[in-house]
Amino acid sequence: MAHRLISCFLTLVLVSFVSFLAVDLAPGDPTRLLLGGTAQEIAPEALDRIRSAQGLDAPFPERYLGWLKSILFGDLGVSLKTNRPILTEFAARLPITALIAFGALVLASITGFVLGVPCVLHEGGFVDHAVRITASLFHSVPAFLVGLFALYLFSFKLELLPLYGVSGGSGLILPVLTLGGIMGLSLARVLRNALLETVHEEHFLAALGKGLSYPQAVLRHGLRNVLSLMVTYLAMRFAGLLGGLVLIETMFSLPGMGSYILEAISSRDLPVIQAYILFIGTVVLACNLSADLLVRWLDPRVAKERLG
Amino acid sequence: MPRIACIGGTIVILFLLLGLTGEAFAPYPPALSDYGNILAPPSPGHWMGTDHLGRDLFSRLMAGTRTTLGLALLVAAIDTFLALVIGALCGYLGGWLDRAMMRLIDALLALPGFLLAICLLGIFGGGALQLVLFLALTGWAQLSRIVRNEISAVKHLDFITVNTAFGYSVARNLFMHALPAVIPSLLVLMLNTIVGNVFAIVSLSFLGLGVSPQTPEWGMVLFDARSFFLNSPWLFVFPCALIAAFTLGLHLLADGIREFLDRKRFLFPIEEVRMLASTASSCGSDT
Amino acid sequence: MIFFRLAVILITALFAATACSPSPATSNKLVIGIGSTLNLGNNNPVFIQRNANVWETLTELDDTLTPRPGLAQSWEVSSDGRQWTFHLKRGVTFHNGDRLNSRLVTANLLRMKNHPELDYYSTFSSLVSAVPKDEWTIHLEFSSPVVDLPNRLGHYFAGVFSPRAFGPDGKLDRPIGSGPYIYSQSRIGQYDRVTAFAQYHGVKPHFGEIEFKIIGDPAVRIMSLLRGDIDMIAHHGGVPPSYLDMLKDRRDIVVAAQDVAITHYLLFNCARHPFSDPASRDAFSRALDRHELARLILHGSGIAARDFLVETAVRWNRNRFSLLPETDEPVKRQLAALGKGNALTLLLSQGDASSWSYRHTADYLSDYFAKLGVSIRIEMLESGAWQKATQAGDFDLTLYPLSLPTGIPDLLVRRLAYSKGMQVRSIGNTTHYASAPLDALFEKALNAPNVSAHDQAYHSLLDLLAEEKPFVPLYHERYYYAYRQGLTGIHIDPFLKMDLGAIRFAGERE
Repeated sequence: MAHRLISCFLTLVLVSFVSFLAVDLAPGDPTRLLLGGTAQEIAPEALDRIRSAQGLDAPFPERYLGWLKSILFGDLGVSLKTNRPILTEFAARLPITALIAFGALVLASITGFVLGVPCVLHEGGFVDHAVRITASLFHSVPAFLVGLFALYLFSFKLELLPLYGVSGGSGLILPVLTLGGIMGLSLARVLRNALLETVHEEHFLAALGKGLSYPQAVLRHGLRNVLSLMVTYLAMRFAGLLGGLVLIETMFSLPGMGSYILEAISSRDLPVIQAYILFIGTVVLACNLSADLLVRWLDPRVAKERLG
Repeated sequence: MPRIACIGGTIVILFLLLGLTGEAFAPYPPALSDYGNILAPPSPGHWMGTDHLGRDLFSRLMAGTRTTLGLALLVAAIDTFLALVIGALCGYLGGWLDRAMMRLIDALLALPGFLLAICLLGIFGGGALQLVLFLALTGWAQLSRIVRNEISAVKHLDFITVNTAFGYSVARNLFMHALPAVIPSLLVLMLNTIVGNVFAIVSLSFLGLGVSPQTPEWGMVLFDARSFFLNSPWLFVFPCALIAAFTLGLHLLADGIREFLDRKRFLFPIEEVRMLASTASSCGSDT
Repeated sequence: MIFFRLAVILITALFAATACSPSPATSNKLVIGIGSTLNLGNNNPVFIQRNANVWETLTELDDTLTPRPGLAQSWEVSSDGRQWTFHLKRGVTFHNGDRLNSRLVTANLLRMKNHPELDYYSTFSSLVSAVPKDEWTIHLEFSSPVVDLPNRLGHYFAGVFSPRAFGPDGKLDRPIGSGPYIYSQSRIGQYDRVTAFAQYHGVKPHFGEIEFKIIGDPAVRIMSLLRGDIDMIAHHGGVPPSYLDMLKDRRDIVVAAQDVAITHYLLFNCARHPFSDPASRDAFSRALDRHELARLILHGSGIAARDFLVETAVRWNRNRFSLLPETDEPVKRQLAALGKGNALTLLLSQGDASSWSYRHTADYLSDYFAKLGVSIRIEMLESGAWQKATQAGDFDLTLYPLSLPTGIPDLLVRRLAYSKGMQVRSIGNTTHYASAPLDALFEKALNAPNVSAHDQAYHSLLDLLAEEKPFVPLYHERYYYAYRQGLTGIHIDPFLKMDLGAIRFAGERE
């Protein structure tokens, strides 16, 4: 475990380097960016003064280490656009993104199990085919397009849900349904395939031999065996989910982290982009780590195997 | 081969042919604007209607097929090539090279490729070259990891050990025996990578971060349609249908190949879990 | 199963939340849909955009961009253009109870002088002294003539605030102004809110609260207005012209247009072949069909430009350009020569292209000139890279927007034609044009002791520019906004500001 933590830490340092380097290589004068689009009218002396005051004239390693140090003290820097600490900006937007992501994960797990298990119980039956076809269809277009059509239908034509914003939570329903639903369908497929794999294994046959009915055996023995796989799968899809959120938040006018990064990009708020890359890296690493722990806990075989 | 693989394969081949010869089918040049015929709904003259500049949507989509598919395939090719080289070397040789590469791959995997591409395109600006570069930057990591794991699993199998005992060279072992064992599963992965790439390219263009504006491309067509969504829905519906058809083809093909491979018990049990997990449907293509 | 329990909790929470759906506009609250926040943050001298009606300026620019009294009631200038006297309006109260007087205004002017990074128009760099003569009179002395001072004081970043709002670095902690509405709060990415100021010195505001709802996607903005979630679409973004027809059919919605003080220019790279040759520039711009561009491509969001500056700025308008192409034989010959060379590079900045219809314009230009035998390659660069490329002279053509924040063409000349732009400021003159007579005229205008000499110098300068054509105007921006039938008193000025205090429901009394 200590080994795993150390490797996580090294990865994090690498991620921070990547994010700092990328932004450092950005075209354009950072001082000018600091002052915004109206900087053209500022005299060069004033520009130099601001440049050295902000430490923008220091050499690269010095700036990188300085940046790392301030991050360790919980200071992600200041947004060029609003002059507010980036941490404050993130804190204002994170809950929305977290809610949608979490909601989507929960919904995906539920739909995955609710749809996946019947597929196994009636392999080749109606549900099996229906899930297969819907999953294929919903996976054939990017989620944001599904979201857009849902928005048009449910919010504009039927006037059931809000068109934009959080609106006390109801604005999150469609994004969660879109992302979670699509993910749930593919989870159902994975679950089905994995379960079908398990039902041919010896211990499962033994369970049947003990007199359990097929559904009972699937629920008691099969599911337990594939649970860890499900967790791994969801963790792997999580990174993609964060990517999908950028477009979904934009479509639904939700002020989350995803739409914020687009805002930061269009206003060239480089410190925000920098902090965002690092932040996402941390979140994904944390997610992978916790999935790992969960898998070990669910399936002691994995822990043993990885030790060996 | 299962039937679905055949259906999927036919669709994919049709699209590839379209990509190669699409402009021959196009009734108009894709950039030709007819200002007398702006935002015209579908009609016999313009099967899919025209856009805000009076350009024929059908022709633009045909021309766009080449761009979108070309870029997606190019990225997938780069990824696969890098994955084969790096993954095979790391998996077979192990040692410090393996450890160092795996660390780098860990870092890249912690950065969702699509998000990193958004940030990098935002910082450095869009364009076809940048698009390919930034998508390939993270794409190879996941494939390499899988190739590496498969190779290092194959490495300890009896036949390789025996070969080594007979004094076969590393290169011969790697290319003649270890790599071929990986290729079928890599193929499935690659198909899913292509789906992911198509989605990423379309999404990035839709955000205005993709290819240059003159290039006809599926996502660019959607981007242009964005401000006409309410009154000219056909500008949205047709590109979506095209994306869906192509992706569906790829999914069916991948599913079919996977079924075929499973039946032959080709993959190794642990890796199978990994494969399933990472490829079950398009990997990370929630965009 | 913990998942199930969590899911049940979440779903219940979501549906419970549906109960408190968005509040529709009441007679006391106006909801305006905007594209991006009005809150500029305190790096900006005014904190919140002028459109929020929180702060006011000493002068205001009317629809013809001529200064009229604002917080200053009247003013006089000495014959050398260096001494200014302003008489302030009486009875103006700020949101914190401060009264407008000469000491307060002096503090505001010194804030700009002492923090040049907040003085976006460099108005006060030549200020020698600002002396309150009495409670309502203030005397300013400059080291060089500033005959356009009333124009500059009406600039959209020249707000007057209570000095108690200034931090040690001159930045605002909170925008405490004298406008009809008090800044109340901004929720990042969701809304900006202002509340009515009862002691406002002008017409008392009708709505108790105004909420600017941030809805980034234009289609969703339109859907929200149609559905009745918002009362008005205004400010940044407005109504995209593609939706005009759809809204015009609706009896419950009013759509209105306003010409904005923004002009879009086509810039030539005067430092590189072929446009280093004035004859190429002349032929290229004579071939332009501005009328067709505006009619076909801009769908009403642009007015074909007859002159460098917006038509409402009558002070500068001389119809120096033709709307229709003048493709006579010499022009055709010149174009044929252009066509023999390499494809021309038309550079676009990604930032500008996302705000304006530059992509369509560029597509059209490339299409149009291809028919005349000149091929144009469009290249889009990220804004920073665009700046670098234009500074390095790595382009043939580019599109460029410029607003007229003071109603005086100085920004236009400084950015696009003044050769010393490069030396004095570290950036400038995107066209790489250099001409001694033009520089002389510009310096003459800047140092003109009186308005007539000033205007005369500018007119000669614009004539010279129209002849030399380092850049040419393509179209002026037209902006559309929409509101619910029944609202009255709505008027948007050329800088997109609405007098929010004047808006009310039809039939309702003040």
